[in-house]
Amino acid sequence: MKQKAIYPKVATDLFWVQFFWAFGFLGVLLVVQIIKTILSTTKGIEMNDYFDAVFIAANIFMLVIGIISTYGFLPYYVSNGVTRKDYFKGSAIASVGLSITIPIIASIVSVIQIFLVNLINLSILKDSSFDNNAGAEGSIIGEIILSIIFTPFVDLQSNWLLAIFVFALNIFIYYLVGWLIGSGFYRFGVLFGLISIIIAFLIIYAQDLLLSIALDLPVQDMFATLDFPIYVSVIGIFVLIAITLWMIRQLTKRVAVKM
Amino acid sequence: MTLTIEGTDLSLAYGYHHALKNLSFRLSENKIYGFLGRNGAGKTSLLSILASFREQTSGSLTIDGKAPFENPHVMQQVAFIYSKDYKDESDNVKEMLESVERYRPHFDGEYAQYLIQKFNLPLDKKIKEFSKGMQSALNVTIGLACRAPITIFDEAYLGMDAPTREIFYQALLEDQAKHPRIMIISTHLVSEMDYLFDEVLILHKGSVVLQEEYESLITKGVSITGAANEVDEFVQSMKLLNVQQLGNTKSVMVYGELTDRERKHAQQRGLEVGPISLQDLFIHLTEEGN
Repeated sequence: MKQKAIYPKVATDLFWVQFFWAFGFLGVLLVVQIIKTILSTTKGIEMNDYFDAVFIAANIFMLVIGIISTYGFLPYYVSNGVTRKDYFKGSAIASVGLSITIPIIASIVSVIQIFLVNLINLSILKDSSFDNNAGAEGSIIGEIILSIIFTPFVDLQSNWLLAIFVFALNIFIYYLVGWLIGSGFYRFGVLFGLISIIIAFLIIYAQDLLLSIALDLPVQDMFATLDFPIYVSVIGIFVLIAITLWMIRQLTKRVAVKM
Repeated sequence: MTLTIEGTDLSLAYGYHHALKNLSFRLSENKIYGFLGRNGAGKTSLLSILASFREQTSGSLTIDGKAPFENPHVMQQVAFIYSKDYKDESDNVKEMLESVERYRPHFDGEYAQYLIQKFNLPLDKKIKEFSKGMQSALNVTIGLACRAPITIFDEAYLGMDAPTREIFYQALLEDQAKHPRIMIISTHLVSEMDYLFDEVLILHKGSVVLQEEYESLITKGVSITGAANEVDEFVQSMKLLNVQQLGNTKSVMVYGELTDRERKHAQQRGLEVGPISLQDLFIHLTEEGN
């Protein structure tokens, strides 16, 4: 008997569950944004638009929901007769979907925001630019931490398609490293879990570097001399994603479900 | 549809601890199997391999000739119900049943509703706010309503009060009569649940020490009661399970069936021959030192 594949169902369900969480997250940021707008208007301070605000916060959001995926969803699916492979495929597809949906929603809200702000002729919105090389020279740890705080960014108004793409790529990688960390802890406990955090840092750092070079953004001094064509960066990023996915699959492929 | 479960030389080690040791068994009929064993005998380990929660260290386990682990078709045929941790479960019963239904091809939603009513579970309260007994009632509801060809209840009654357990047992028997499947029940409550079992497997220290039909199993042991010297003489060549003496009266449980001649003989000596319960048999078969 040929059975219909289950992973599309898993992907759909996981997408909606996580989208529901994302919706709450985006909602909270919207409220914050509205409050900031009111404060900026009365006090005349400049502020970021919604897209920028979501861009900064979404990394951590994606990291966290990535971490809980293996703990929350894997046992649930296996106990409902779904294989680890179907869970893996479904979850990977759902996270791609989520990574694309969040920046699209953020940019739509942002466009409305910019339209409204311009309509009533306020000039409170800052030009979006993150200083990608804010100090900290020499210390590699400092640079890694900086690369997490200042991720490569493209302004929505300069090239919206690229901006959404970079945003999506960024949060997707954060989701993946969260998933990797969660899987590391789930499979091998604390010690390997901690190692997986270090691996996750390195992945973020490498992705950051590749993306910065591709976008012609400033990079840390020790890599300042690096220069290669954009397609090398793009290939590099996709190889990085593939390696991360491969590691997650290896960790969860035969993992015993905790009861 | 009847599936065949076959375990051959199945072993499972957690580091240096061997939970299962070269265990072999075969289940091939749609009936209720009682899995009995003391704490740490390997019941849950065995059942979790059956449900693809983990892989064995060595040996083979097959369901209809196929290894269940990561086999999407086989995994869908097995439902494993155990005392789950619901402390983070913010769904209510309605949402939970809807999501299970999406992944269980034989799920009967109407029957699930019927059981929910019988167990008196609130539909819209968060499951994490349920008492342990209510959570267990929900678990067995899901387990029964899944109608999976292989349904496993691993001490699924934890926290249920006596009337609730009774509802569970009745529902289980009724549904098994209407929709026969391989039902595996592991339990400590032997005396309470023995009437449910068609066949019994006793696990001890990671091995199956006995697999037998319930009816023939309880005739396997008898208790002989009477004057101490008469009893001693009578049971001389028999396998003793337990000896109790009060004054001059001795009661001995023996393993093995009595022949008609032996029964007659016992009568002549004024000995009383009685049945022993599965509980007694279980306790004595799995006693320390055995």
